[in-house]
Amino acid sequence: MNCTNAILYFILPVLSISMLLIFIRLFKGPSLMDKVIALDLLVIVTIGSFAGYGILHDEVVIVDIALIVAILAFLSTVAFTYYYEKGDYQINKKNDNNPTEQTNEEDAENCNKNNTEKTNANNE
Amino acid sequence: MKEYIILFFLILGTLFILTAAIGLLKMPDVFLRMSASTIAATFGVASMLIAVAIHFGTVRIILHVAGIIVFLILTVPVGAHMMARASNIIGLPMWNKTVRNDLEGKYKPDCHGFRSPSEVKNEEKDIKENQNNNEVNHH
Repeated sequence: MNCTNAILYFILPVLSISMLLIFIRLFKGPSLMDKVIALDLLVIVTIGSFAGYGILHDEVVIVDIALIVAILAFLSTVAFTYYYEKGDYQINKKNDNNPTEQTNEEDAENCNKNNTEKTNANNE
Repeated sequence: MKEYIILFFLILGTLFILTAAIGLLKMPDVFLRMSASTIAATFGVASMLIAVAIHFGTVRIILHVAGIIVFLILTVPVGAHMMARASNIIGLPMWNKTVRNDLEGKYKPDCHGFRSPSEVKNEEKDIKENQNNNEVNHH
């Protein structure tokens, strides 16, 4: 009975307070990457609260749910960062100074050119 | 006795997670926020799941908990590395008191790749050779 009281009056409130702090960062975050980090940490805190509820109610099933949620958290993080990196969010100083913007295809062509030139130089 | 061990692990994990949340809120930089949240939250969730394993004590639950902990230890650093790489390529600003940045000027923003040290050496050699050739041509 000691355990249930501690979970009810200490562990779940502290976890919800930390969730509130993470939500503040989620709404306030200056860049989109801050929001992605906040979402990742939010899912991890959710797994922790699953553990607390599992001990409180003697539910065995909640461990399986925690496994699935952990896998989904990793997948969502990878998807967010992949498209954030490929997207058009570049904060380069070049683009700020030069009004002429390169498209992604031109960037890819330049990249291939540089690589082929390097390989030719190495072969020679 | 068993209850006290469970309580110890639960309170330890809760305090770790609270530390991670405060660090996420108060750190001044994307990279510092990322390191604070990732390290603290992994150990916090691991100790809370160890408490669950001690409470139930069956083989199935212990195996599940070990699976979740191993999966978290494998995937959370990979995700943090991807996030740090993406934010460095995009060019998010660092804290103004950052002492040292080893990756400064070593990435190509046009094709999302980093140069290795050998490539940098080759480029320096190419630049020197071009300069020598130009001098010879001028003479």
